[in-house]
Amino acid sequence: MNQIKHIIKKELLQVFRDKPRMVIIFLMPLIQLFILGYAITTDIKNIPLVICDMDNSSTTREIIDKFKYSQHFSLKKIDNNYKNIKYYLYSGKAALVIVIPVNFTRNLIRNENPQIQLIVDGQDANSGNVGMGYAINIINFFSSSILIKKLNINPEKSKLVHFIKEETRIWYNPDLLSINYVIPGIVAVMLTMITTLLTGLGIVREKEIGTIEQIIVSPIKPYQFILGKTIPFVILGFIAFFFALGAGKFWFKIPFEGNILILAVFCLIYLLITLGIGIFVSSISYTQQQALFIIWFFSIFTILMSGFLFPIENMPEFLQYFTYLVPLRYFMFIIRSIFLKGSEFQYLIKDGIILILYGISIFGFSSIILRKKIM
Amino acid sequence: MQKEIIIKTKNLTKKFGNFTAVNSISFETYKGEIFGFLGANGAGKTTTIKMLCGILTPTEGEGYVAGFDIYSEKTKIKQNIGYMSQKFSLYEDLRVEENLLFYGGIYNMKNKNLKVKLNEMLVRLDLLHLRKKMTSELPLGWKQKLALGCALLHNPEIIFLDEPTAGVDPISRKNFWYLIYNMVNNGKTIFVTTHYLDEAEYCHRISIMHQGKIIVTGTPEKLKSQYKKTNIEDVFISLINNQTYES
Amino acid sequence: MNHRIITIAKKELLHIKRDPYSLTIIIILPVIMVILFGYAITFDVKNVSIGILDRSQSKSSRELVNTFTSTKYFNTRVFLNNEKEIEPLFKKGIIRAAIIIPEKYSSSLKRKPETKIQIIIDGSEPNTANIISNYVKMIVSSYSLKINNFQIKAPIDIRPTVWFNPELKSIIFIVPGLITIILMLISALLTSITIAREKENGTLEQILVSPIKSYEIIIGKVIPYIIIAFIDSIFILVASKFLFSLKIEGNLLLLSVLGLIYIISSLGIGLLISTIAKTQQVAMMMTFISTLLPAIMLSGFMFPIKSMPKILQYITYIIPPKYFLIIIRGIILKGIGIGYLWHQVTILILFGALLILVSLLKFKTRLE
Repeated sequence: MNQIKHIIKKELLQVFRDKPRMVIIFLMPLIQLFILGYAITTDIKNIPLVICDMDNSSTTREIIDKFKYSQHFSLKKIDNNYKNIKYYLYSGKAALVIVIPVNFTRNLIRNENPQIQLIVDGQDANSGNVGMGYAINIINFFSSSILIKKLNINPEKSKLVHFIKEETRIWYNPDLLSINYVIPGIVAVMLTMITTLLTGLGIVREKEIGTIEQIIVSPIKPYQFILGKTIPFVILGFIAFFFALGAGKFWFKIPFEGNILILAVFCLIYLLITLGIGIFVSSISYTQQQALFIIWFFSIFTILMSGFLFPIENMPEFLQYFTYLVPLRYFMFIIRSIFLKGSEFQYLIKDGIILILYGISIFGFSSIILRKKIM
Repeated sequence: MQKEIIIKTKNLTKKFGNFTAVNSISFETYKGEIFGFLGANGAGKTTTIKMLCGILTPTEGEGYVAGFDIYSEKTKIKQNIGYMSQKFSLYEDLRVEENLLFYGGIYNMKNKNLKVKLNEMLVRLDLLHLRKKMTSELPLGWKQKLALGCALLHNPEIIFLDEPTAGVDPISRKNFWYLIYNMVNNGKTIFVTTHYLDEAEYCHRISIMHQGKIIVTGTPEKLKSQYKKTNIEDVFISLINNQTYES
Repeated sequence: MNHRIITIAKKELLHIKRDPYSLTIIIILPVIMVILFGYAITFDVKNVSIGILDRSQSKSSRELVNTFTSTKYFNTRVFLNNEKEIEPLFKKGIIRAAIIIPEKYSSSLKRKPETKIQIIIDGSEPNTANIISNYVKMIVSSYSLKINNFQIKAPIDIRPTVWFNPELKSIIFIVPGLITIILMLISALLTSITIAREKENGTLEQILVSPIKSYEIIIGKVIPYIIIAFIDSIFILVASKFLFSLKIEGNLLLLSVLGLIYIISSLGIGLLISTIAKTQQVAMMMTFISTLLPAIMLSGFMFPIKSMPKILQYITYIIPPKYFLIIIRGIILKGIGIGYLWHQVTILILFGALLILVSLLKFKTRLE
């Protein structure tokens, strides 16, 4: 214990004297949390819109008003020349163009089903898809109000009609704010990156400057070395983690429904994995640059496959199997469930057990590798 | 007088792939002596030291340090040795006393004892006034002393010094050897490698290494008379020339 | 070309060749990223598991259920006995939505003009929830029309068409972004590290005492990375052509020329960092924070700039990748020419010139 204590003390002293590392530990989480918290948004707002109104009647102006006051769209221009559409889309001035043809109002009154054309810039498939959905909803809403007016005029017909109306309730995040989804995810990603990076670079650095030899010739046991090297980062990781949680709750006002103690326990288990990976990377690399590259690569893979931004069930099946290999996947599920759904322990057992198994095997395996390669 | 053997190797060999860094060397070191390993850069001195300290595992051969086997009893060996590498493995971002405390700590020295030893060491090395100084700010000679202090703090029986004076100015080197004699007088054994041939004169016995092999072992006086030279430098040069000639 | 520049470039290539780790990563990373991003980044919501609480248990309610589950959107159903079962299933993540059909569904459907069904959606993934909600609306309204034998038509006929990416495939959007980011990564990160490494090792001093000029050192050091960046871009394009049948609409030559301008402005950032950073680690951290993160997050690579808060939108104006993204997407996906892109090109050139100028000045004063 005494030996471990000395390594921990030395490690903490070094961290606090090393400005770049202080940046990693304290500035990175801040940047990640605040910039990314706001930047990563799957909410689709302010889609640049051009309406090509060739009818120019009070009815079409009514439709245009509906778009003008929607927060999803930002109406850039009302044009009446069909030929300009190409320019708007090619120059990126519009991502959606709505074309209302000549005689639209006349045909509407005559029940001739006039067309409205929507032209979507499909480059960004998600924005395109969602934006199109919003536009269709707005027009449909307008359309059904006309229908109701017509049915009211003709009560006979209205008796024959039987509609199904869906009533949608959304749980856990009723306003569908993407920030509620993103912030807990960022917290998990941040924890992964910081702790892997710090342990990874920490041991490689001792290799580079040669101090590791001095430690090897001492009677210290590998487990003491590993614990001494990792415990400081467990502490720092934990501080950063709870700091981020606090920011999520009090700054971003993310609802925190669950039990913080359960989250802390799972966080500890998860740290076992990230630190294990850090140890592994530092055992196999010779320079800090290599370690950084490997960790960077690992992070990209982990982030993509964890369901952080892109839900796993939407991926093709073969890729879904890969996600089982990514420990962050399980932790991501746990942190989000605890945050938003307030899930109790019994709902998290399955993912929790998998995390524990991963934790023990990864940490154990890396320690063996470290022993073989270094000690 | 029967001398007690404290380090012993037999046909010790280390290969890195096709390259044989240390080629079947056998020697004995006696307790309480300064045993010097001489040789050019790349002769295999550092590799030998690393095998004896348990940093590298030998490819073949036997080796015993303080009576313990270098294959199976590494931990026991580690308790009894101090090691100072040619890189002066110090943490530049720690203060002088913090470096000493750290290395003492990993040898499992307890707090009270550690503080006492630390003060003694600072006095002995004349580093007391620099104890709060950042290691990165020390001149090389002082770093060398500090590195020695780190290797000695736990009071080891055998001290391995790998090119301890490389790059250090003559006055610091002289002071350094003074410290080494001091340790021998306290009954310690010193195993030192160097390529400064004048330093060989300070050793009780020396081995000269060339291309992974020990070509000769003996006291400096014996070697000088054997090869009829006035100093070790000339002995070394004539030996190396012969070797190259033969091969 | 100037012999001294070539000497430096050759030496740099040797460094790259001798470090197999980094070399592998430089070459393989882009291709793996294309594959990963291509398959993993998809906002297409499919195969949603849905819970069904059918209190009516009638022929017409079963018909409604079948209408839902026969679509590709909702293919797994879990039958529920009461409303209490929904929450545990949400919490375990087994279902994403639930439909509750009321007891009197069947009779109400015959007599009343409007019959209500309840949909509960797990909103913890807002994007998915949103899309599910849209699907449900669509399915319910078209089913409504069907049971009315299409006697009633919607008064307006909406005709959506999609330009530039008719199948709305996410990869089409991602590939140009990936190229933008990898070019940035290689030009900025590797340049800053390579110069910092020479500082750390003291070899830069050795070079500086020779009669070489500082601009020659810089050109020599960056040429190999420009070449690698170009090769990587070609890899990405070829990989996405074969794996995801990406079509390149525009002029590749124009793209290369504008790409070079972008690379130079990215190199400018790398150089500027290397004049400040003394060690590789500092260089890496600075590059990471000042270029890579913004390039990924604030350039519009994945997240639409227009949806961000105003402050962040202003920050995006000083991020060169933002402009290059518009250029590369325009050329690859829309096939537009330089006529549409002058604005972006001018800004990139200004950025590049400014950065190179500042770092050249700093490079000199720092080292002399």
